[in-house]
Amino acid sequence: MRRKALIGPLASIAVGYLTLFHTTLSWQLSAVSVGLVAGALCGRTSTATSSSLLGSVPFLAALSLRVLDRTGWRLLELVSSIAGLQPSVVLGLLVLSYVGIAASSSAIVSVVLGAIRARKGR
Amino acid sequence: MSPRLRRAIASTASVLVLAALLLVSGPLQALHPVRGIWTEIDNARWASGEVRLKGLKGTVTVVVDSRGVPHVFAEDELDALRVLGYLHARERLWQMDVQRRLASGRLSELLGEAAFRTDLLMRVIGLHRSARSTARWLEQNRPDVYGALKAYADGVNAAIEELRSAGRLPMTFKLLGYEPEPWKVEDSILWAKYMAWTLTGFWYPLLLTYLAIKLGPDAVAELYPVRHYYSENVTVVPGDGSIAGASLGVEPEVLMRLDWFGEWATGVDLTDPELSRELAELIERVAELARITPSELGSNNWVVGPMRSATGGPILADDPHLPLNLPSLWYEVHLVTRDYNVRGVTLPGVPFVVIGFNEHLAWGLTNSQIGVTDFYVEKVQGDRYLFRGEWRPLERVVEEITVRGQGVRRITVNLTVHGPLFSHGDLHVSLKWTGNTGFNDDGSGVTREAVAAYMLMRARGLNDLLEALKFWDVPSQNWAFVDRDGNFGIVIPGLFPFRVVRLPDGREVRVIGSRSVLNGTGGHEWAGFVPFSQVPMTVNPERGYAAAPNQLTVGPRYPYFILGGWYDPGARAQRIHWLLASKALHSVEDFASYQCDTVLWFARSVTPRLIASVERFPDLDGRERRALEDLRGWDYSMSRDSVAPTVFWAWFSALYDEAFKRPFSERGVRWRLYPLESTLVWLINERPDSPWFGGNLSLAARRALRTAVERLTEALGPDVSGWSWGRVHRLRIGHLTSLDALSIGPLPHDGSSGTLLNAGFPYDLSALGSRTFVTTGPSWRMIVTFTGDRVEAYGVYPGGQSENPISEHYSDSFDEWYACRLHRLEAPPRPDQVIDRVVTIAFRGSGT
Repeated sequence: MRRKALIGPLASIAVGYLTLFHTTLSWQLSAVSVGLVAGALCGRTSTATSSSLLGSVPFLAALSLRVLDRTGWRLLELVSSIAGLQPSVVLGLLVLSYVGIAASSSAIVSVVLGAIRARKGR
Repeated sequence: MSPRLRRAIASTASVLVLAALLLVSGPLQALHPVRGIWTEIDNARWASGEVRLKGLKGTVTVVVDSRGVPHVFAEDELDALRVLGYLHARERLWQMDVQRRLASGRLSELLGEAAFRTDLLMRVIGLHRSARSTARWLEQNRPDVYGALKAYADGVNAAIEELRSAGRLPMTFKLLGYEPEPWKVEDSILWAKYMAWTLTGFWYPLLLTYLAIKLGPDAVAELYPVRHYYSENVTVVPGDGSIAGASLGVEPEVLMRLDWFGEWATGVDLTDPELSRELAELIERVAELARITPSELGSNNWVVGPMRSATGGPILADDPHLPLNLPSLWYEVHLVTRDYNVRGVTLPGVPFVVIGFNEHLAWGLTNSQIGVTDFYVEKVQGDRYLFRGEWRPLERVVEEITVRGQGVRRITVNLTVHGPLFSHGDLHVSLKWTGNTGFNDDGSGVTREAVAAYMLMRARGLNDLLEALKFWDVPSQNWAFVDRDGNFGIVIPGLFPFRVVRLPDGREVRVIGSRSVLNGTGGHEWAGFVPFSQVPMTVNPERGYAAAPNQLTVGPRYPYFILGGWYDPGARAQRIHWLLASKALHSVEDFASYQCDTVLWFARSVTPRLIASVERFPDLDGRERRALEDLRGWDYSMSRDSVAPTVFWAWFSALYDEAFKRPFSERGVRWRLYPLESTLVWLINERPDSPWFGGNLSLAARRALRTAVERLTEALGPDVSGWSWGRVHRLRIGHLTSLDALSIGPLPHDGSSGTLLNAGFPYDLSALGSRTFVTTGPSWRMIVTFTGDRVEAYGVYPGGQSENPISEHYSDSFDEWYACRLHRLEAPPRPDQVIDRVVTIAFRGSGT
């Protein structure tokens, strides 16, 4: 049972990693993929949401490496100034978007699957 | 709450959150942590090692120096150019792509409606059509040159593929959300055509026609003379212009007095009120479409021979004044092959050194300003036009312009034997330009600059230079040169079309260019091009120097009467002639200081007279007296820290308005087309009782001074000592996207439009307190001298080698340029001799 519970989070991380580093998907689709997998493999909505947060780890790690690099931060500053925003705001929006997209996707899937299961159960 | 309801609420909320986040995250797409803009970090650094490049015959060694300048060492020329294509694309791919879009009328695909009018104009002019024809002609007639362009294009495409497959396209592609198309040979020709168009595609015959309609031909003759005031003693080619064995056949004085707007000269009756009204309206519409403004562009070059050189060998200086942008217009390169060792600047997208030097020869360009564009009023009925008594069918080209977010728009371009038509109601005017007619004047658009540039890189001295320049068709340029044998001078090659015009007295004269629209039905056609043996040139002139800062080319007795053209008013020519003549020997350091000289010749010529015209007025207030005091002690240097230049500029600008604003406006001139400075200076010095001054210069100058001081007080405050020139005259080097974050400035800047340190700035008081900046100037400064077997060269441009804004080479040369310092340009024959090498890359064929 415990082993089964690990499948969702681990699969989410794997999908997060694969979609980011080994496909040409946009990061938004990567986040949706993580959410779909987490939602599909985890029974409860709360578990699915947690899994999707774990699935965001590759994204957050890759992003951290970029902005911790001095040149990377300069680039972020540059792009932020084009948008007229603070770099931290842009960064915050980015992180929030990835995590939010993954989490809400997982919630949608798990709710829908839950509803289907409930209907079948009846 | 029931589980079902809870689920419904949760899923609805999640859908809403997801939709909102997807929407918000759209603009953040380019921030993908793996393939997003961050790849610019990798792109910003060159790394030593090996690069596989398809098609290379041998190994090419590239040494990148501390300024990011590549030194390319190849046995085979095509290998070198293939690598050059790769390097251009690695450093300037987005710039190259935007440039070709601009030139071919495809910007709207990226920028939408905002760029549509620009695209429309370019599609009508049709540089892309001429570029295609030229590429085909080269393929069939000059496979060597075509091969060079093809090798270069292959190199560009190799880099595009490498960047694309690695997800490392430059950030601007990612921010704008598109990818570049493959590079074609005609794309290189296209950009060269665009440069040619911006340098010689003059609208001035239209503008002068407009002014003649509004002001009358006499006023135009006085305000916009065929040969500018104060220019006769400083022509590019010294002397009266006559060439042995060829003559003008008519006294120049007679030609100067003629009304060149008259029907006898043009076949168009500008006194017909209906026609002139329609023509003026058409010109206003074309001017609006083309955003025509009087040009602030110009360039400097000059040379001295060994007898006037402190180095013992000839010295050349060149600085083309062009729009200053980031990424920079130029890309520096050093190419060594078995055929040549050449260094200088290239245009990204074009595989040839445009301005530079090899071991035998150095060359630098300025614009010759000679008119090579004519406009014809066409007689059109339906889909036919009348030419030489025959109704011919209009050639129709359908152009499809894709506008981002709005789909495809189809436009039909109508062409006559002269070129594309601009129409307004029943009036049709065609544009004939040498770049579109081609060297056979057959409308093919085939021109051969690529052949000349190809030959030039391997030139071994003056004779080879002259052979190469026989193929230089457009834009006509003043080619300053020095060579290892001590030769020096200026050659002005190009397609100079002439017409044979019958004068009112029955005599015939060969005329280059026009000042008015011409009748297009066949009586005012080009009769040919000036043969190379008669193009203007000065080789090893006796006085030991020559200079060509865009002033009049030749004296008035040149065998062809140069009627059309738009020459610089001549302040820079006067100043450099004075500097070159005033000293027996000149050094490289002297030349560098001349390039940054800020003395305004016209200010020296008129300031004492202007002061004298107002100083006795008793009603001068304290600030006006203080302003005049500053002018009295002025050395005429347009220095950014001085107050006097600001006062002079404001006063001169206000005097322009005094003289011309009301009469121009009353006569319906819709935009600011004031005459050149040389005309206002002439009126001040020679016609103080001119009606343009209301018959009294003193009163006009007094009113102008009051206006100037009031406007300066309003814009800069009441303290005259704070009116430094740098507060008004500010430099901005804008990124091609116009984004401030990627641009330099605004910064206080020395010079003005009329100083050798050229910094284009209008005489217009509305520039005070507005976002009017200096945006043109020396786009590349170069000085070269030959001493014995040694070539010594220096250069700098206001930017850097890379378009990548986080590269250390994005704008690393700007500070040197701004401070008027130059880099030493080494051109060693072997890789191990590059002094400040940072990275060494071996390019090898991929074998596939």
